[in-house]
Amino acid sequence: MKSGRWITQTESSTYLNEAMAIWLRDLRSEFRTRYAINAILMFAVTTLVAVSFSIGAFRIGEAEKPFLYAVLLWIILVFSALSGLSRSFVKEEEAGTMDVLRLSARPQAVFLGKLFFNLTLLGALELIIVPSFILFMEYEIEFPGFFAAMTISAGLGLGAGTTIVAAMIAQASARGALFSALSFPLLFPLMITAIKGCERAAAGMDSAGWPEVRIAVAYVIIMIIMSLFLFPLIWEE
Amino acid sequence: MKDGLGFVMAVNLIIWFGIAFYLFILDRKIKKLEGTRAGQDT
Amino acid sequence: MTAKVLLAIWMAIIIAAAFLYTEAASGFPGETSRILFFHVPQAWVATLAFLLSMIASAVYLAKRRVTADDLALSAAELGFLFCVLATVTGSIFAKATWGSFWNWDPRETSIVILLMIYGAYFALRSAVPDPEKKRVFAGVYAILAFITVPFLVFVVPRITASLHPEDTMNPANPGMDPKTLKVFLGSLFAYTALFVWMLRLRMRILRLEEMREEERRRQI
Repeated sequence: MKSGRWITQTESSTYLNEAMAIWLRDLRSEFRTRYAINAILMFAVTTLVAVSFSIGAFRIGEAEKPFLYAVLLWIILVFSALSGLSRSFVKEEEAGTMDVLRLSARPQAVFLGKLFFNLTLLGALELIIVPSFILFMEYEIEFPGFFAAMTISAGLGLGAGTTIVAAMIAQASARGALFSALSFPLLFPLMITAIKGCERAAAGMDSAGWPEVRIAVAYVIIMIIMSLFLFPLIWEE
Repeated sequence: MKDGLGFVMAVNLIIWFGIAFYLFILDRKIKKLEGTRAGQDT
Repeated sequence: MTAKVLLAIWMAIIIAAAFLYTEAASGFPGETSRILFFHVPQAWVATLAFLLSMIASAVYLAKRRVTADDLALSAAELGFLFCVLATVTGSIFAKATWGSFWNWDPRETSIVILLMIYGAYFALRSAVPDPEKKRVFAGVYAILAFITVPFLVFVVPRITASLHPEDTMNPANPGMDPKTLKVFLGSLFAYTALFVWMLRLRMRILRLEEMREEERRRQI
C-alpha cells in the first residue's frame, strides 16, 4: 500500500506523530503484560548476581578494576539487550498483527516507533542495572558525568543497531539465535567503545572531549539514518 | 631449518596443483551442463 | 582456457620462488617471514571480496537484478574461505614469531569480526525461505555490516596494543628488498586472479541452479 491514507495519518500528521502513536501503543501493551522488560531484567539481574557473587570474594587489584568492571558491565548490558530487544517485532509476528502494522503507518514511522520502544526498554534496563552494578561491585568512578554520558549514548547505540535487525528476523525462522548472531557483529565496535569509555571514566584517565561518547553518538546517528533508509526495503510485502 | 624448506615448498605445490586440478574439472563439468542447458531450451 | 593454465603455472612459480628465490627477512625468526607471500594476499582477497559483496548488494537493492545478488553471495562465500585461510596462516605465523596462536591484536580482532559477519550473513540467507525476500534481507545486512567497518577500523586499534608488524610488513611500505617485493606482488596478482576464477565458477553454478528452478516452475 503505497498511496492512500494511512490509518494514523491525518492532514497534519508527520512521521513523528505516527511513530509516537506506535510507541505509545507498545508502551501501553508492555505496561500491561510486562513481557519484554521482565525477560530483559531477569537476564540482567541473574547475570549481575552471578558476576557479583563470583567476583565477590576474589581479590582484584585496584589498577585492574576500572577495565575489568567495565567489561563485565557491558557484557551484562549487551547480552540482556540481545535477549529481549527482538520482542518488539516478534510479538507482532506471533500475534499476526504485522500486516495491521504495515497498514497503520508509513515504514519509517513504524521503524521510529519501534526504535523508541526499544530505547525505552534499554533506558529502564540501564537505570536499574547500572546503579546496581556500581553498588554491588563497589565500582569507583572518577568522572561520573563522563560515565553517565557513556552509558546513555551506548544505550542509544544498542537500540539503533538492533531495531532493523529485529524487524528482519521477525520475518524469518529460527529467531532467537539468529537475532544475536546478526546483531553482535554490528554492535561490536559500539561495545568496545563503551568499555573503553567507561574504563576511562572510572579510572580517571585523560578524557578531554569525551572521545568515546562522541564515537558512540556518531554510531547512533549513522545507524539510525541507514536504518531509516533501508527499513522500507525489508518492511514492504 | 633451511633443509625443511624444500619439503614445505613441495607440500605447498602439491596442495596448489590439487586445487587447480579440482577447479579445472569443475570448470569442465559446468561447461558441459551449460551446453546441455542451452540445447534443451525450447 | 589458456588463462587458467597460465594462472596455475604462475602460482606454482610463485610458490617455488617464495621458498627458493627470495631470502628470509631479517627481523623474523628463521624462515617465518616467507608466510607473508601467502598470508597477506589471502587477507587482501578477503577484504576485496567483502567490498565486492557489499557493492553488489547495493546494486541488487537498487536494480533488483538477480546476477547482482549472485555476485554478492559468491563473493561472500569466497571471502569467507580466504578469511579462514588468512586467519589460519596468521595464527601459524603468530605462534612461530610471538609464541602464541592468538593475541587479539587489532588485525586479528577485525578478522574475527569479519568471520562473524560472514557467518551471520549465511545464517540470515538460510533462515528466509522466500527467494526475493532472502536477497533483499541479505543485501540490507551486508550494507549494515559494511557501515560498522569504519568504526571497527578506527576504534579497535585504540583499545588493543598491536603485535602486528605494521611497519615492516605493510604492503604499501616498500621496506622489502627487490626480490621479496617482486614475489610478493606476483603472489598478490596470483591470488586475485584465483579469486576471480573461482568467483566466475561459483556464479555460473548459481546461474545454472536458477535456470533449473525456472524450468521446474514452467513445467508446473
